[in-house]
Amino acid sequence: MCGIVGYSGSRLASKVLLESLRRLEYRGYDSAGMAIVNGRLEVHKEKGEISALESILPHLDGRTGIGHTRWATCGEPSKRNSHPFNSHDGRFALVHNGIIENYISLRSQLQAEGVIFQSDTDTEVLVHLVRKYYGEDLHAAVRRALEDVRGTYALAVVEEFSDDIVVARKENPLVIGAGMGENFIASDVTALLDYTSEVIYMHDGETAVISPQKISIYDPGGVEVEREVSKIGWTVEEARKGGFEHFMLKEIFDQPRSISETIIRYIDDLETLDVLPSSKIGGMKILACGTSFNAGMVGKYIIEELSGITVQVELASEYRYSTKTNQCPLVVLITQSGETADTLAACREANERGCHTLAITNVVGSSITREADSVLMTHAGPEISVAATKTYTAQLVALYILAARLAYSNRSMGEENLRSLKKSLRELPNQVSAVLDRASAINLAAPYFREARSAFFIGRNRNFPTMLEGALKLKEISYIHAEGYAAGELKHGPLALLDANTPLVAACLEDHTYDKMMSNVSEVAARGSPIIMLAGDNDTECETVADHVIRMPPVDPIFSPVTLAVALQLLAYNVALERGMPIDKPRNLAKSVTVE
Amino acid sequence: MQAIVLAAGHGTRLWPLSEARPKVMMPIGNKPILEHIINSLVANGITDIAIVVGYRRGLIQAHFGDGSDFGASITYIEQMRLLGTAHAVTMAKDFPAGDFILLPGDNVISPQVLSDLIAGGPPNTALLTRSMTPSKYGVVELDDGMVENITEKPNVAETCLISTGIFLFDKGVMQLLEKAVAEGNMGLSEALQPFLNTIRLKGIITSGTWCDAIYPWDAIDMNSRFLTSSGQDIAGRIESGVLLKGPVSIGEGTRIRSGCHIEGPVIIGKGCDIGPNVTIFPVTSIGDNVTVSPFTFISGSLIMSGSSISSHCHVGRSLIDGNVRIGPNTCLSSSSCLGRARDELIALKDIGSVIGSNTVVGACVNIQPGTVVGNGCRINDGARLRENINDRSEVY
Repeated sequence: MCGIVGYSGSRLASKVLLESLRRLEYRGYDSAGMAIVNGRLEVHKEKGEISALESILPHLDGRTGIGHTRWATCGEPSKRNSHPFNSHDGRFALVHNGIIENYISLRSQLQAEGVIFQSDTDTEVLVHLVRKYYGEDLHAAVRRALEDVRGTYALAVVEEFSDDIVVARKENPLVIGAGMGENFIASDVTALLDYTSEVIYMHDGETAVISPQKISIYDPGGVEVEREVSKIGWTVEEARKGGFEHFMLKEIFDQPRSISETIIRYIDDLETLDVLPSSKIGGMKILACGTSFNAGMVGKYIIEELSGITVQVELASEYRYSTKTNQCPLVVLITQSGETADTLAACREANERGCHTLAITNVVGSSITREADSVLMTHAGPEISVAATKTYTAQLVALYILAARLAYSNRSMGEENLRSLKKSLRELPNQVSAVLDRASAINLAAPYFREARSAFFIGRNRNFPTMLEGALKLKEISYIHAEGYAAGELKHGPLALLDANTPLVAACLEDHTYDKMMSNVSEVAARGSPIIMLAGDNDTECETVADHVIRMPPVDPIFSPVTLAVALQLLAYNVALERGMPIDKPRNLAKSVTVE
Repeated sequence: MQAIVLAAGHGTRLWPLSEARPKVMMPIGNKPILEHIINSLVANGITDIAIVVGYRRGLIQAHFGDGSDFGASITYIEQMRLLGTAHAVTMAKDFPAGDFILLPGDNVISPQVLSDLIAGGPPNTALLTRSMTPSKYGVVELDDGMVENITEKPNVAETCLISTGIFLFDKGVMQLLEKAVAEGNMGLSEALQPFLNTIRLKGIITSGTWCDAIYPWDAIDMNSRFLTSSGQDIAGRIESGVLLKGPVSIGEGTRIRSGCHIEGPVIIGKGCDIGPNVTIFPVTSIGDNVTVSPFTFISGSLIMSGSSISSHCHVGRSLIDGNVRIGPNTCLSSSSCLGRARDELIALKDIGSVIGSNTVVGACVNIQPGTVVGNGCRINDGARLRENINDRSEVY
């Protein structure tokens, strides 16, 4: 998903564009650039965040310009491939969001006519086409160029010595912001709200010419049309949250989609997925920090269960201190941002020790994708809330994929079992939806935490690491001291801490751990702690010991870590809400920790 | 111009489909009904949209976000207590800056319907259509083009004209509705009735396609009427020896294995595994992550995300909700039949059956036309099903 912006008016265009680009950062970014009309065109672009672009910008005096932020979904982000693109004579610059389907044929045609291409992108053909068809009028040239193009686009073009911006839209978002003596364009309203609340939405197939004084919109036939101005009644923050109170809640509710996206990328090619070393894998390690570490712990149980391969999970920051003689053929590194300093250092260490490194990350082109030997991408999309939710469950899905791949290649799992695992995996997005449907029932558990100073989370087998994650979520956003324990460990110490003010959250799903869980919980009930139990729909026994039961929809037991995690995210969210905490930006925490 | 879309209700008559989603999120041609409406609004240049949400609002908000992916800007307004449609409208009383279009979020409409309304001139205007079964709707009597009377679900309908629930109002109507709601008239028709003369409500009859799904079978018809995409759009992988005819759309990550025969209009979502040797006939919608095993025949049906159909099954004019598993050699045949909805018997023309979400159907099950199986049922091997089966039943 990319973002485009444009400005024509009396302010310094570079300042306006930088601000607008920052507002689009939530759509993701790995490179950014802008073209400013200052008599001639000046184009600047840089890989990385918007601040990287800002740091290389000289003072630019132009009052008209266009900008772009790119989030690669395939291919490596680089300065060369980032927008805007110039025509070879430097007279035009163009930014684009979308896909040009027939760019290969257009490209060879243009090359035959002597055009030299600077990048590997589909976008670049557009600017050369505009140059080719330019007679006297930029708008006419753009319209003519688009006749040759098959695909989808939202694009903006500027020309030297002109304060016009020509834009076009087809199946990609583009809005025009109307100001006084200045006008704007952007991929979505949030980029404009600092400057104007009056916007015009363009329809598919339309083109427009924007200058400081005038906005002219043309229908697909080239006839100028009148378009009403809409007034936006909300603020930037509200807009981006799409009706949800917090980003965290929005991202929790986004999980059926993000899980489905990650499944879809890998499920068809699972048998041949090329991420493993060629040597035989007798044992492996998973290295990660924080939430990713908890995902790794779930991964251990899943991989061991499906493939029989022994897995050690280590904190990335501790890996370098571990013994170097104990080598593993495969080391898996999990990091949402791909920039976590501890995990990156661990990756380098593992490479030095001659291990095959496999990274699981959410950001295409992040540092870890270059350091590791192979990569499994999660397709969760950008995450804004500091407390990770959708990226955690997407990591779990990637680990299921990896586990199935390992089991298939060492023949622990045959065709038939793999097929039935795939079937269950395909049902997962709807099962997560079913948990979200019960959000209001989960809210009712929040009052038990109102006065609590600490809380305990217990589970067994693959649900144990899920409880670690549940405790971490509660810690992060509600500031309650919370600990996750394997249920059997409770009697080896922590039981001494339990009292009537210390809620216990227990996962008692109907699997082979059920009886043992129930007896652990009964022990705690005797200490008078409020018991919040996550139990199956048909369990009637749970109500005799629990103070509050959160009902979990039926799910293949191997996937319970995913549905449980979603329920625990909702629990943590509601507790934080109940206690009035700043949910999206907890104190002392940063989204991606790039120091060791 | 602005629009207010009502999307707070349950749609309980759509059982068993109402369990997994509010009615407005029912997929038709793999897109929620509400998305068709937003698209129709945007196609008519109406982009400033308020959606009144209530039941399962999270699902709606997660799908539409701030609206920018749909070319609109969307504001959400919550109706905390679902008291009625007029009450729902007054929740959005501060939203309109001037004239606004009011429309229900659970009817599928073509862009033409809204063009008719807008072309009908200044407010206040009610959009009407002709219906074969008017007594299920608000029946409208016109006098010289003006609405004289709206009667909700009368025993005997005087005319075949019904209200589509789509109106073009000026801002002043909001105050009248507030007054009506304060007096306890919570439904839109009854709230408008006393003011029909004051607001001078014009009636315009639309020629565009307008469908309402009241009962679950209606979704099957709705799907055939709206799934008319042009041309092929193939993102998935098609093995050799597959025949694709007519408009067929296949999503990313989907594999169509060799020997499949697919005749459009058919839409297949992302991440599916179809075949080998599966036949799919028009008009069929298949959601994301669906598995269909060899030698199965599917025609005129809707199959929602996460479901799987085993080998040698027959699925004719049927609706299968999400995460349903159907065992081998099971038959969902279609014919003219009677369907039961609460206490009503409804004559259905060429309809198969409806299977609720998360239901597991065993092998060699014979499901008679007109059957409705609830959510989360277990149907054991060899069972013979007819009429309605409650949620979470076990059938031997």
